[in-house]
Amino acid sequence: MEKDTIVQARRLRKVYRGANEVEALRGIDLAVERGEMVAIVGPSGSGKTTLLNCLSGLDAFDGGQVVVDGQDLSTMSDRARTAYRSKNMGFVFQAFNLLPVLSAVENVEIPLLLQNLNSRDSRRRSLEMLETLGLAHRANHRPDQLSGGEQQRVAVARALVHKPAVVWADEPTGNLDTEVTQVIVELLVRMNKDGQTIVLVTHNPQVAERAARTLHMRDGRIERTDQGDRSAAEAAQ
Amino acid sequence: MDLVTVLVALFIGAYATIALIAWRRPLLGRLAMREAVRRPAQSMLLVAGLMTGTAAILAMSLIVDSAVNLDLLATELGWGHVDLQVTKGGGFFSRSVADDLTSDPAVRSRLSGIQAGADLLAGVTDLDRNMVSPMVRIVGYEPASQAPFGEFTLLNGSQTTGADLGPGSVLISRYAVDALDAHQGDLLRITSAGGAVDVHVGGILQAKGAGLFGGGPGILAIVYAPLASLAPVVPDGMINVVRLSAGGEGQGEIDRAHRAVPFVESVLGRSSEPLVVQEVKANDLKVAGEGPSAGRPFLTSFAVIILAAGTLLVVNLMFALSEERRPRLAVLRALGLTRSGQVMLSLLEGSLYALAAGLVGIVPGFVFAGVMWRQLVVSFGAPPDLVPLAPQTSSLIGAVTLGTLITLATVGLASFRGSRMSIAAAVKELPDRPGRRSRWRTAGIVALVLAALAAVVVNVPAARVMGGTVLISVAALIAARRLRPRPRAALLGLAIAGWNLLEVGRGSGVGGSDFIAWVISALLVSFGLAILGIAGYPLLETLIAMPGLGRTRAALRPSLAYLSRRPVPAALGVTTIGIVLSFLVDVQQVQVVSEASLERSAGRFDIAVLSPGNQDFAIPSQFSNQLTEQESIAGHIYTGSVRTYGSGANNDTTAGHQTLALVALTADQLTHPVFTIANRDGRYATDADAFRAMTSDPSLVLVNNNMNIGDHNDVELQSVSGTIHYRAIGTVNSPFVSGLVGSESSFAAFSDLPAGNILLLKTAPATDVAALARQIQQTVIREGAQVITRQQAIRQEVLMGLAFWNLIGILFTVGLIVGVASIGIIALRAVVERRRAIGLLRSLGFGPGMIMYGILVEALLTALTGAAIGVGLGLYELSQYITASHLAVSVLDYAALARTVALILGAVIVVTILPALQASRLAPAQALRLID
Repeated sequence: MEKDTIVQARRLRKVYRGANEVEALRGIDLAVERGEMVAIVGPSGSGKTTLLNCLSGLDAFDGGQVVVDGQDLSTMSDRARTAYRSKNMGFVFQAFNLLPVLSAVENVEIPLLLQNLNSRDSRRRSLEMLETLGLAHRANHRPDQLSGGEQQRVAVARALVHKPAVVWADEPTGNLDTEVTQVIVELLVRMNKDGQTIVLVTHNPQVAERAARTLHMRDGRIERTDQGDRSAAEAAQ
Repeated sequence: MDLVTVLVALFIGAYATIALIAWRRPLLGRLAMREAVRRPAQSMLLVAGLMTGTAAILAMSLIVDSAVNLDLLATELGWGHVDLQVTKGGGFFSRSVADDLTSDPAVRSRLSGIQAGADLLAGVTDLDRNMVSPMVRIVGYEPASQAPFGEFTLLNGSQTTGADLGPGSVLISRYAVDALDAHQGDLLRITSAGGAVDVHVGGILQAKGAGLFGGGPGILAIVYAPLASLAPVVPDGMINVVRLSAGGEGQGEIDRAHRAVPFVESVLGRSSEPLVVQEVKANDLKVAGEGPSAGRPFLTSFAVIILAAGTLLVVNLMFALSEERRPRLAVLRALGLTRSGQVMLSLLEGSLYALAAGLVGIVPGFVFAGVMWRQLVVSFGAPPDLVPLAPQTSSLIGAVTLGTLITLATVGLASFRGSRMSIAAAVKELPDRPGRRSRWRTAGIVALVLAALAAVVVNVPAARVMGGTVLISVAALIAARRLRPRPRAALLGLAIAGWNLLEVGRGSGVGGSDFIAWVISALLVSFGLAILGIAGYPLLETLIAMPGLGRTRAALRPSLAYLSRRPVPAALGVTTIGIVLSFLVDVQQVQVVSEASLERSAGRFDIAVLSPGNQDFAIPSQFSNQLTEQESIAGHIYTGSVRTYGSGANNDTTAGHQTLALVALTADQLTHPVFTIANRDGRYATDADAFRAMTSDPSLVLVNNNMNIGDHNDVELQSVSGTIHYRAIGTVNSPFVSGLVGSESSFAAFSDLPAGNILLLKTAPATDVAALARQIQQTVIREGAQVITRQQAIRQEVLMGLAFWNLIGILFTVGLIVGVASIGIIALRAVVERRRAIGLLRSLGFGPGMIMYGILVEALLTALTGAAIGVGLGLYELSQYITASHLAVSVLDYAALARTVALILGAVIVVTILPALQASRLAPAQALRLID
């Protein structure tokens, strides 16, 4: 099968400048195929979150190139990166990061509103997405009225509702118990089976093993790559 | 035990405890100090903000405290060492009376000073400057007997009894200088009923010592003239007052004067003249001490508003600090710091800021108080130098301790609340999950309900409004499970506003004794409307739900949600702007309304010529062809005791030594009225009926708006034949006429008093009124007559009341500044509190501009809602004032309103732009704390 690379990083470098200079990424090369689910693992300080931030456009980088779905992020201004993120990226965070003053459906709606979708359609699609994730009955509840698992599902809904090119998940199960972790992981796998490209950072080996490919990082480099239980081809079916 | 003592005790107790904690827990002390100096700019900003609240509290304490004594002090200084006066109801009597008193050993041994004198109002013209003032107080005295009454102090600092003045030289007050543009050496003409005399300005006085004598409300221009210089204004050998001083100071002087009265009366009894001796100083001090300072209830009530605004600023600042410190405190908790340790640490740090702000706030507090005080004193008609700001040590201590304690209390509250944090959540800067309700909460609510019920049933308006508001709030709390948040908030706001509008609508406050209740109600109406408005904010998003505006909706949504989902905290900022602006609107519009009302009811005459003394005054014939009507009204100037009694249920009584015009209308003028009547007594169906009644009943009179005598009041004056009673049956509609207006027989007992004349002129059509008035003035200036147009008279009448309104304006401008500063602090707090949320929005695709837009929209919405409430409430209050003051019109200066609102919005943008910029520049990864 012809490879369809959706994320390509070449000699990616990131340096944190403070009292001491820290080279968080030391010339990373990687590629993610469309429809693939890739896990990034490694010890604390290995640069996995930094890598995610740079690949997703959340943070600028100091060297190399990142191309996402044909767009070179290294040549984009902050404004352009922001606009690109709103259309093409979805994010799931460890801390859920739902806006506490908005209801579940209002949180999910935000990416659609940013695409200038009209209010009726954006509400409909948001409710549909929540229904898909089994949360339609909680649509009007605020985050403080939801459990951790429910909040993370709302976050996943928000990440997926606008059909982004890539979903970036940073420790999506880090704040969840085993049972709920399983639920979230199954959700991500299901989305991936539907063709969604997912790149996730995790400490949890059980989460990583559900990915098609696992990248092991250490000291700002990719040490090795393991094929996961699910290959990209399987995930695309 | 007074309040200041309690505050000092609390302050000492609090800081002693804090010092003890720092000593017993040196690590906490070190940490607190390190936090305070870690970011000096932030700490300075915090102290500056806290200082604003403390300065406002201090300034109000100084003003209210000084105002309480203003009447007493003004009276004390105005009378000086003149304790007793012998008069003949204002008329002249033989100088020998003073000689008899001086030669009587019983009197002489009990009094330190006896002085023959004169005290009258006359027209004074500065012949060199071509300026005239028709109502200047002429204080005739004898230099030889001046010493016991105090020396005059000239501008150059030298002192004199007047003995070294050349013949025909007089001393004048600085206000006479202002009224006449007079300079040393100028030739003045003094004109009264007795004639005219020319004198020279021998010196200009400082407002101290004897130079303050006579400086009571309303008359500030004074000429102090040796008796010998005043003939024929004061007939030769005649005087109209003997001044007596008991010597000494304070209450001792008053008591000695009182004991001397029988001996003085004994001497007076030998005279054939109907003379009376009055304890003028004691009487006026008694009145000043018994009645409230005219502005005191207003100032105290308004002080509550400014205190609330200052407190809100402090509360916002300390809660912002608490949020900023939260993650670091959480780490310390994780390391083993206990909850109480966390509270102690926050208190230690907060105590440093509180103390710094309290001390630093003294300077701006004094500056602000000084500016306001000057305005207040002028509004009382007294020279500002007469009654300087009298900072009491207790006020200073009280304000500093109160401001500090409020800050400490807020720190304590915030740290206690924060100590219940979820450490894991706080470390990651995540919000806490709501905890379980404690049984103490239920008990507290029950106690609150019982207290509120009790407050509602007692017959104290302030308690009633607050009790009702508490009950409504508790009901809303209980309904939380049954109603969704927005409808619940809307109902809560509506109910609070409605309940308190009942009290505001009673109008019991405007000038009444329930003013504090009225102000509290207005504050709560503003609060209720604020909650109602905020509950409706999400509708704004619906209003712009149009295709292509999705990004705008997205940008608006978080801001509207942050405001509407926490309506009470948001409402506090709105309320501050709203209530302060409402009073500012009143101040702004009162002048416009008053002027328009006076213009409408001013009558048909365009010009008045005020001529002291000359009752046969006539306009030179050269002007006749420009005039279609002339009406001459005679009168007398009464100086003496004036007692008024309220009518009906409002039985307020006031009394004091006043100068009052007694305007006597002829029978023809009563049959063919010269002016109309406002707020006519209901017993008279028409003005004609009222004037007819005045013809047959000499006790019926009309009053003028600017006199402190309400229509439908009873008035008592003292004549040589005894007390004369009058009943006011309405207000005269004329800017030219002041005092009491009655028939000739109403004031027959006062025919000996200095006379005067008002000549009312109606100009022919198309005449340039102002130019004609100037021409007439030039021809009559040497006769001490003043010519005034209707416009000038209206303006003067409006300005007389404006000084007090301007004071209120200054007060509330400061309140507005504090309110706007609060909004800036809230924006700053939002940036800190919502750092993670801002990072999230940026990650989702919000550009920096959208973030900035959101912060600005929140601030502007708060200000706009406050402005809308302020303007609406202000206009409602204005309508009450118009009704209570019986004003004839209702007009508005829309341009001034628009300017004020625009200024507020501009100021809000200025204080919010930096926090908004700061928020927009947050890098997403940093804000989300996405680090390895």
